[in-house]
Amino acid sequence: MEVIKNKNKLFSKSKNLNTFISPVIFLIVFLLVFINKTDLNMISKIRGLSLDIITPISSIVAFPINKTSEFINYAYHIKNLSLENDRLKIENKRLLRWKTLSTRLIDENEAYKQLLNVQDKNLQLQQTVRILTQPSGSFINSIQLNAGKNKDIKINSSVINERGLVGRIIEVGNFSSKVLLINDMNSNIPVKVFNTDINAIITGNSDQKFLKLKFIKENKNLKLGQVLVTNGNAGIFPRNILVGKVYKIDKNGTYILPFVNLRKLNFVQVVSKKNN
Amino acid sequence: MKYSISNLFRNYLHLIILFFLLVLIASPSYFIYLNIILLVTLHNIIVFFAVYRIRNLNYLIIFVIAFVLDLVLINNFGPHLIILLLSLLVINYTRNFLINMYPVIIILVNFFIVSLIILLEKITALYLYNIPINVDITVKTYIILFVVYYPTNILLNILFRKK
Repeated sequence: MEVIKNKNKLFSKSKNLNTFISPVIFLIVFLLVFINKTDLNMISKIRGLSLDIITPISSIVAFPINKTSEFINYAYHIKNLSLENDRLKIENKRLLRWKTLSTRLIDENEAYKQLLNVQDKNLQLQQTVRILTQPSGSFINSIQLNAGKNKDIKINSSVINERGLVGRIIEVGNFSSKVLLINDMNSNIPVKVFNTDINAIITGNSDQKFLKLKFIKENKNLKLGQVLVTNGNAGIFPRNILVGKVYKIDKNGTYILPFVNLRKLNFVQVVSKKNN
Repeated sequence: MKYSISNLFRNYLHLIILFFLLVLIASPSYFIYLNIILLVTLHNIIVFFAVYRIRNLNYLIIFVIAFVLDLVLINNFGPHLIILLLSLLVINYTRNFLINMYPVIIILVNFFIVSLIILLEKITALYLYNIPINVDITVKTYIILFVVYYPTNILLNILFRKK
């Protein structure tokens, strides 16, 4: 009862406390915005530190929700197991036929590379990391990873998964980092059409499902189904990472379907350019 | 003792709700609509608490919420911090005028305030950090706000009814 009495006293004083605190808080907000606009280094430290504090709390509280979500996915998976099995059997037969061909092609490819002295292994794996948070994308499309400076993650490193390009690191804390996804409207990716020298820049689209062609060199035309890979021109993304394929061309522009399903990411790999 | 614990829970229920909503917004979700619903509900609850002065929602709590939202959603500080704190300031100064209106008018005014806050946050993000306004998501947000607003208010009225 004593505690409650004291607490009530505290609440009764909270109006006075508010009048004292509010100017201080507005001053802090002004300083934060001011520093954010002027001093990137300091704000980067503040962001990194804040992320390190928020991330563990968020992951602990969200644990039951994630597990429930996983369980629902698992139940859905079980439901479709029979269909999946049939599909996999057909796919396995097809892949076995390809396996023989690909083994022969790999040998041939290696032989040609040695002959021409080509060095195209330009990717260096830094870490394979788990995704912690993935906000709605009301403002920016980003994800948060559970690795930061502790795992030697650096700003502007590329993030990929088994299907292709996911995004790039924009913020690094001590134990977490933030990735700007390729479907964000601020993301500009220099790409080229696979096996050609047609260079272009693609960016995120408002529907968050497709990417949109922003610029194409010499106004060349793309064709449906053409595969786009990074061209390595901006110095951020390594060369030849799969990005997407041309899905739709209409009067509003050219739309590219990313290979990666950006709403269903679990693990990603942080890679950087290999220094030869 | 039992009485004091339940009373303590009631006193901090608003903070618990805000905390869980904040964490859920930051957590991964495969459904974009769920995140928008949570974001809209959070804004709705903040305005509800501010207008009806539930448990004296103060600047410090709003600062923490806005700080986390800016960090998680925008990765830059400003839009949520400025707009939410200014909204609280404006509501604090106009509360006496607001409270004396008809309940239906209060509900409509609150709806207008929430809509305005969401729009102003997007405009501030555009002007401060060149984050383009995603028309598609903005329209979805307003449709969800329209659907979610009244049920949320009824629920909050039940939870925080003054005895």
